[in-house]
Amino acid sequence: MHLYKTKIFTILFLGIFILSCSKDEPEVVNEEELITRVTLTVNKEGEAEKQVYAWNLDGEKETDIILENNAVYEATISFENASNPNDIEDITAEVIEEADDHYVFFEKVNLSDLTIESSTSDIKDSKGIALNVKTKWTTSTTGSGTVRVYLIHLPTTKAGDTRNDFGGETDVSVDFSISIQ
Amino acid sequence: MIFLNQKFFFKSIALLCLCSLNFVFSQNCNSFITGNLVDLHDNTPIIGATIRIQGLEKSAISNSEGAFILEGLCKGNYTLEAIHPFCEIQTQEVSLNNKVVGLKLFLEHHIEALQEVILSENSQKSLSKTGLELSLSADEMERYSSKSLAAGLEQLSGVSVLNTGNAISKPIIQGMFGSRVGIVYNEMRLENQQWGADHAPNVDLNAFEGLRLIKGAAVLKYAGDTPGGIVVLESKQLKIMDTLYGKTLLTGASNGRGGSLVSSWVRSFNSGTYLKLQGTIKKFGDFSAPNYNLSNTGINENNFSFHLGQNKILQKWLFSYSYFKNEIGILRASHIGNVEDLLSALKSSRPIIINSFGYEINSPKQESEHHTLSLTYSKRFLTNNKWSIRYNFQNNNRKEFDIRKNENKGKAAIDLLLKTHSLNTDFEWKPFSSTSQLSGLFFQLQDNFSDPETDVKRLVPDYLKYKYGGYATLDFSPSNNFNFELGIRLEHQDIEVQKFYNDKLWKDENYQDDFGQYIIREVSSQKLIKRNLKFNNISLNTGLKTTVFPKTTISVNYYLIQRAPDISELFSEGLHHSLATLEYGNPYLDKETIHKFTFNFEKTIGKFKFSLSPYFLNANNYIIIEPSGVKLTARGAFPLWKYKAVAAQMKGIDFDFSYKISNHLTLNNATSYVEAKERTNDRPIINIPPLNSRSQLDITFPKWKHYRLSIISRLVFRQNDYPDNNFEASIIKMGQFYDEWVDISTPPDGYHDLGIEMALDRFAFKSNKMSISLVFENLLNTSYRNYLNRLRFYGDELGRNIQLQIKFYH
Repeated sequence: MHLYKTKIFTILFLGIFILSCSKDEPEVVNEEELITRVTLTVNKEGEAEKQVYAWNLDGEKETDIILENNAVYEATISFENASNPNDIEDITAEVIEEADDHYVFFEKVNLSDLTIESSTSDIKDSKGIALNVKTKWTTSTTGSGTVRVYLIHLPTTKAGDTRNDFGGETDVSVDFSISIQ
Repeated sequence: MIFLNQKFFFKSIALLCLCSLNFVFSQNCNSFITGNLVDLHDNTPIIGATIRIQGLEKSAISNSEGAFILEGLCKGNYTLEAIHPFCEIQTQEVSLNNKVVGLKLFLEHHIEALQEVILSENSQKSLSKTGLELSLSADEMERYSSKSLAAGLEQLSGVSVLNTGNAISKPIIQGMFGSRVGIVYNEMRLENQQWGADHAPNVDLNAFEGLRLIKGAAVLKYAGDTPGGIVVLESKQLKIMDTLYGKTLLTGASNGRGGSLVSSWVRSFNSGTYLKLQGTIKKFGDFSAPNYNLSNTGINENNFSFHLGQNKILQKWLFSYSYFKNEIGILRASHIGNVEDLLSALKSSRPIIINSFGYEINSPKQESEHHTLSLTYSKRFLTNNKWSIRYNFQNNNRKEFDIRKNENKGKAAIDLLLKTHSLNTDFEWKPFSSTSQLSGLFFQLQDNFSDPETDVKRLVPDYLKYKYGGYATLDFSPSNNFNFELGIRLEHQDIEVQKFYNDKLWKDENYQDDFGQYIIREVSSQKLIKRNLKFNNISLNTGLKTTVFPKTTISVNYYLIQRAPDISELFSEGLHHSLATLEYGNPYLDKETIHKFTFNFEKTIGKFKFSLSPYFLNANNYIIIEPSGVKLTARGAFPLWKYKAVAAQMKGIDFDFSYKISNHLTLNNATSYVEAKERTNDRPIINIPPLNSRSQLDITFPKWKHYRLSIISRLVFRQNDYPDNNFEASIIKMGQFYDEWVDISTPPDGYHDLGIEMALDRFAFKSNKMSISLVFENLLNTSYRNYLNRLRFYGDELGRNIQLQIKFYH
């Protein structure tokens, strides 16, 4: 009986040592929902030439967005995961896919004369509310300031004038410097 | 001629032989009786019993096989008496003609003696002879049946609770929590992901009948790295008898509109074999604060445990398995995107999201699953020495769910699988009745796997940890008035960890010089490093307890504690949604060393009894997490919290008293205060419980003996010593940038929580007994916030709760 029990424990003990070999190398995780690049593609109404302005997580200094006064522009926003340069992921498509759960909001600083509104070609959610993925920017006087771009997830409402009005969680909050010349 | 002592066994045999010879020659009688003494319960031989013939000066002592021989007897009728200190006296009539061979005498151990021997190593006796020991009885634990382990522990002096919402709580003992407090059940330490502030212990209070908080040398058997002490959950030692009994507890609560059902059954046999089955089902919907619903705060929990064992005088074995599974909703409003969201939450007096009551649990939530398998065997020797061996396997899976997008919806953001094998053996040696010495060896293997399927970077990396070492404790108690304890534990830890670092973080933190050599692979802008970390820890405990005057006891203890850093402290990397903080481990950390002195003074003056326990702690390399700059992400700038090592100092005092005002009126109070600071700059340490005092007035009634009424008051002051971790966030107001302070440091005001408990204890109900209790918590429905709740920024604590509990004893 004693011998039997001793055997059991010996086997258990050995079992532990057998299990105790080195671990496998872990698999790499490429985060999917991470947004590392926010791009504004701007073109002046009636012109084919497009200007691309990008905010990068890596902190490379983005150039100011230069706009002419008394002009109308169309700006298209895109969100990307560029954490793996070999596999850049477009998050904008996911945002559009879940249009009801998202809203893009532009908040201006020192730019009271600039108006930003949804463009006619903008994406709409199931209730017909435009997401602000494509926007129409109308400039009047010259000046410089900042536009803070928010991507709001699960907003409580899609109507408002400040970030607080929308509720929900902030997925993106990045600043673009604007210079109206 | 009664020789009870084993030592004199051979001497006595020789002496007996001489006596017998005497008889043979003088009276010419040469008949004899041989036989065996056997334990009635398990057929084991009974050694060292005296077999006497009534009316004759003749006796023998059973040998190691339980055999005896009585020689030199004349023919005739005799009455044999078998006497053993642990057994009932057994008599047997014998008619002796020439010889009687193979007489079998069954002895039955005194039930009390049996109980005493078996109980001596736990339950009734204190585990630590000099360190302070606090406990909760089964009845007291049952009150918290539908709550958590921490809620039960909070009733003990010097214990506070660190909460994340209302359902995730862990104990803070004398300012220590997490890995600095050990939880032991089935004589092994709980191995779940205990490092996180939002990780509650994965153990069901209802599977046990006793809870003790121990300090002193006795803790070294379980751990050497727990300055807060060890919480021991115990199963009641079962009576050796043929019986079936059980109990069922049904609890319903108004707040959360839920409750729990707990049932446990024990079947035991005369042979000492027993079987215990226990199960818990718990379900709650959203809890509510006095003025609003706390959306998504429900709980589901299902637990089960199974014990099969045998208790005998000389040996014990136990096979047990337990399963724990819970799902806890986390306040919906606490899941925020960035610091601006946090700022809006701070400015709002109510949670940003309030939905109507529901039982559904959505993201954010946690799911834990814990399996424990243990095998224990112990053998007692005649000299009262004891040898034990234990094997324990724990499998813990922890999942955390955040609010995610698209195909990742419903997918866990954290999925950790922690497997722990432990093997432990010890020997208890009692050379003298005053001295007891325990020494043991332990070996542990722990494997953590962080599932990459989450598609979120691992919060803690994969690792493999070996831990082995030994301990020895000595307890010297020459009298009831004097105890001395000494213990040492040596532990070696060997950790192999593999972690991916982002190239950017690697560069920002300048890791190349120090850790470049550990890179084993580079893939998609990430570096995989493999490091082997080794720690050698020594822990020492010594204490003295003495009764100086009648009813006055003092004890002093010194502890040296060394703790290797947790993997999370070294390597964690991730975002905490509820605090909008990024948490980074510190790969440079080394082990922490703590010196702790405690003093305890206990005195009884008539009907007044009190204990005063000041303590002082000095720590080097004490690991804490603190803000360290900001980090820019696409969500905005986040405060970065990093682990760091500081020189710390803590001073505290626990004061308890009990005053028996009359036979039917007793007042109890427990008050605690602790102050913790960094030694170098006097900066207070975060999450230290403020001054708090708990009073309870128990009233019984002479006419209704089963009725009991208690009034419970808990007074918690404001914490005035806190580190200032506030930071500035740039927000836009009226088309302009504003820098606004995000106040995440200032503690909320103190509060007073009043409760009433009414109980009808153990009255006869049909053939069974039954108890009913009605408990009111936060009776005045006061709105308050708690400094020790990590979600205090988002909502108030729970409002009034009425709990009805019915217990059936089968």
